[in-house]
Amino acid sequence: MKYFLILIILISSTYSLKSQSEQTFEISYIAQTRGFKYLIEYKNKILKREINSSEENINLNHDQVNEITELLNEIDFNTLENNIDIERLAVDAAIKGNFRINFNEKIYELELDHNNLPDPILHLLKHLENF
Amino acid sequence: MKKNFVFLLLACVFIYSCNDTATESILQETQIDMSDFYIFTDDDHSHKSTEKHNGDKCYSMKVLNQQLEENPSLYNKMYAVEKHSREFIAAKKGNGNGGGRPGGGDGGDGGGTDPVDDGLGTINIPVYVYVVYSNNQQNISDTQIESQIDVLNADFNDTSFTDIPDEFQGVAADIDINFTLAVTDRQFNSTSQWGTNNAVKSAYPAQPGYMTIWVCNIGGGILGYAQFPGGNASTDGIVVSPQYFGTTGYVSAPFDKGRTATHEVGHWLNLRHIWGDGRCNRDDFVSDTPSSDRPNYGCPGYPTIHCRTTDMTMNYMDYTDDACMNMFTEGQKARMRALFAPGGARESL
Repeated sequence: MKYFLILIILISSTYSLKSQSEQTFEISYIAQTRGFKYLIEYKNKILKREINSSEENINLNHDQVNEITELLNEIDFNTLENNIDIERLAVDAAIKGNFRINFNEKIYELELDHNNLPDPILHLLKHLENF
Repeated sequence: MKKNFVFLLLACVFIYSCNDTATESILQETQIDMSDFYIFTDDDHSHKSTEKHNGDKCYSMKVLNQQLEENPSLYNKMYAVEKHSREFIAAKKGNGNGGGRPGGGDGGDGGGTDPVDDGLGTINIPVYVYVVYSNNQQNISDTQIESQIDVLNADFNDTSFTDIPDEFQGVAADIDINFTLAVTDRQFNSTSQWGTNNAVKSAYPAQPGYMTIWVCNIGGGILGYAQFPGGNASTDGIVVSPQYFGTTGYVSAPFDKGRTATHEVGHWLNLRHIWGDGRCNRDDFVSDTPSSDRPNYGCPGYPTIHCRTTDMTMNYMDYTDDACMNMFTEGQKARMRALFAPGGARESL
């Protein structure tokens, strides 16, 4: 019984340490209009990219995930603002990009002008595009 | 019980005050119901990430009011255009409301189902085409330009609706507007991508007395864009990238049937996207188009259902491929033609 308890404690503490070392996050961004689609999703170490007719799924390694985590830690999502102009959207002069991230147990959602993305989001997406 | 009652009362007061504040800045109504008029159409735009703004229930109206403060003259012009259209349509119909939507739902006062003789006859629009090119490919041929004019004339004078689902056949309309190519103005410019900030229009201003079309490489994933009536005269017109203009020459499938220009001319003639650029409760101000909460892409199967009605995916004001769009409605016709009535925004044409 004693050994069993020790084993349980060991397993749970190992699990807890592991969770602390790997921040989990999910990213979803889609911008679409007539004749154009740009989608990037990240979940459970799988990166999905769909840019117009080209579609691919990539398994990211530990280092790549850490790279993204570092990028995310540099972004203050609280300061980012929606920047889509609805009047321009209504006459096809803009493409709406829906950005959603679940990071550090918080969910942030933004509606952005795909051709005028805030720098941190543009930097993040370019990074994900290049893996 | 008492606690619940007080809570309910407070909630009602909050909702009432919210609506009250939101509607303060809307201009005075006359007999025509303009309460649903908006320029900025979605519920949740222009606020910060959701993390910071939970519970901000009046936000869409705050955005509207902010935009009005920033650009009241544009709003006033667009409001006047909208009001004139509704008054003209209501006068021709004898009441302020259009017919019912196919598949249920209500609509604005901007045009109904029943065909109405507006007394305007066939409308003729002279077209001024700028071809702004940075390479030979973009310097499209006269044949390509003429093919686009042919498409506009066919789409705005369609009388055969056998290719439309039965559900929508009763509302399909012959718009009775003709387009005539008046001038082709070719301009070499080393700019390779013009974007959508009207740079091309600043370089080559719109021509009064014509519908101006700029054919130039826009870039950034945009096929074409337009300007609603009521805006700046020097930028009034539509812009289309050369590979989506016309049906022959330098064209790119599946947008090689000239429907990008048809769609943009629809905006230029005061049509909104068929889904109203918002959720189910957002309207395109046309009562015979069904509610929807999203654009459709590609060639969707029939029926495609959103907001509990069948989407009119074949309408020129949706986002489907060129080959899969083939109709305007009577309500859309009424809105477009109202612009040419006395006092209308495009009367001078």
